[in-house]
Amino acid sequence: MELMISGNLVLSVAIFSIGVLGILWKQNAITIFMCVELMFNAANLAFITFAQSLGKPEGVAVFLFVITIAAAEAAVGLALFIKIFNDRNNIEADQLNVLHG
Amino acid sequence: MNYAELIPGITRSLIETLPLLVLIVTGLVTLLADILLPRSQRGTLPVFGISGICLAFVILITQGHDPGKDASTAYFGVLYVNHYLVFLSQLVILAGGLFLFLISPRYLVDKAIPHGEYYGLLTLAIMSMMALAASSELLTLFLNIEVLSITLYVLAGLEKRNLRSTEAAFKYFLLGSVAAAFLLLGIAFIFGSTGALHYNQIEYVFVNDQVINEKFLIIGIALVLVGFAFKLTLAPFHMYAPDVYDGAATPIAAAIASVAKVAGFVALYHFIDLITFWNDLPDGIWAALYTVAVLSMLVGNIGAVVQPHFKRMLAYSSIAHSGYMLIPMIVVLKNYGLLAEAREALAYYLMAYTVMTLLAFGVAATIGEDGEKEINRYAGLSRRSSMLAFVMTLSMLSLLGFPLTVGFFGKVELFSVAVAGEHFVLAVIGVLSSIAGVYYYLRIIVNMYMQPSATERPAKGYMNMQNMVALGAVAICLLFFAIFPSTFLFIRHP
Repeated sequence: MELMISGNLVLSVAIFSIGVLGILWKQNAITIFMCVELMFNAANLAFITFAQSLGKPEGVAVFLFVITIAAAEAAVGLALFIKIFNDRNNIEADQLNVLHG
Repeated sequence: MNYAELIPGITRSLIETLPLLVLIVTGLVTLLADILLPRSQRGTLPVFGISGICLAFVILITQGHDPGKDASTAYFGVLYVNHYLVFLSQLVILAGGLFLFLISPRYLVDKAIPHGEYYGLLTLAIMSMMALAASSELLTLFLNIEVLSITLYVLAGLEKRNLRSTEAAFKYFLLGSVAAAFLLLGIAFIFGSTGALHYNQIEYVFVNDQVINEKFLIIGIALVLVGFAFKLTLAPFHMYAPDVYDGAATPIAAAIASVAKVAGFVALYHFIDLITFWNDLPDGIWAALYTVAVLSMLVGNIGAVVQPHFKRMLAYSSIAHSGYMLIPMIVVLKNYGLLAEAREALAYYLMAYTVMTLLAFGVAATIGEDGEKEINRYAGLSRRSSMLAFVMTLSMLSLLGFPLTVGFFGKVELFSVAVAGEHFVLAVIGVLSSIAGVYYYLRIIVNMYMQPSATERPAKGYMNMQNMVALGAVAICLLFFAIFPSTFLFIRHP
């Protein structure tokens, strides 16, 4: 039984790769965080694709949990970003350099 | 489907996971009490957590581990119960959590960290560590790692007035989220190639050779291992560790370095145990783990040698120890027959590592500002507080693996498992790289006993009853398990 590599899966991997590239190239914390969200949603898409092609509903249930986790993470992340923005007036990741050595 | 049939299974699961439920209730009660109690009585908040953890500990010990019965699962296959390694690691996590609760109160007052959030989230973090160690399903694994990480992001950034704390939380948050995304995509690929999320179902697929797509499975396993390597600060994914340990409050850095790592390593052990059932597992996975272990030992030890800062040095030392703790997994991947030995070595080393790391961080938290910064600020500590200096010496000698300490017996077990699996090179690299520890661990002892005092801060300022009890109890554990190394592995039924 060979699984067909469907268009959805290609799309999911493409979105995931865009996320990874964005994390490597961008400096703004919000942009980096958006890239992380892209990666999460790419993984969700992969789950749903697999669930469809295998006929297993667990894969679709996973995405509900992941959405919840991503929301919790966004809440914590945005709170941190606001705190950093209040302290420094920017949220560029490369300008956070109090800790080094 | 008749839902009434599910009720006995759910009831049984609720009873078997009672320690987790106690901790969830405790955490929520603490968060609620923070709002309801008047400001003057907020000092009583840790009492909830301490009593909750003690209750969970007593329940866990009473339930015990029954060697006559096989490991089973609760909640229809998502959490292991009556599993030897899970039971021991949960004991270690609870004891470590209790220690953190005891050393925290004075630290929080000194640094003006909000009490309610701290104790509430720390209780929930300890709960998720215990659940993570017991996870027997990929989605549960992901959820527990995430609940643990998100609480730790908040805890790392709780010191609101301190820029360093916020920055540590920021770095931990971004890299942790990226690791979680890799882990999730890996789980998706494993699901896609086996059609299952439960470990026992995946094992069934492996044993009966029903893997749907081998390429996807390899990608999935590799991505999950990358996610684990990030979370466990294994080189080359360790870059954030020194910054996070440095910036976070010391008790939280201790939690990230010790008990959270115990949970992560037990979860990784379950995963490695699972993939050994796949007959066509490519050698590349094994070679990659081998490289990561060697790199972690080298990077950790070399980084610690050049590090003048105490908490950063401990971060590098914990990277090196992560490398050592990977040895049993590497051995199991090649020689499944050594599973029992590898598991015992891992259990003992996890306990030893937790005890000695908690002790080192505990002394640093007790001393406060002088203990968290440069190593030369430890100069003359023996004259300011001989007990703290003695406890720190114990911890440093154990981390070094000095003969007749817990660290020594732990390393002997680990390296003898490597030798039994005929991985001589790995054992030799482990022994040679740990020799570097002589320099950076002994440097602290030399500073404490042989240098003139750097500050004139009186010794009385350091100690209070709680910290003394906590440090003393852990130091006694460390000595006890060094004198009777095998007793730890035989904690079973009361």
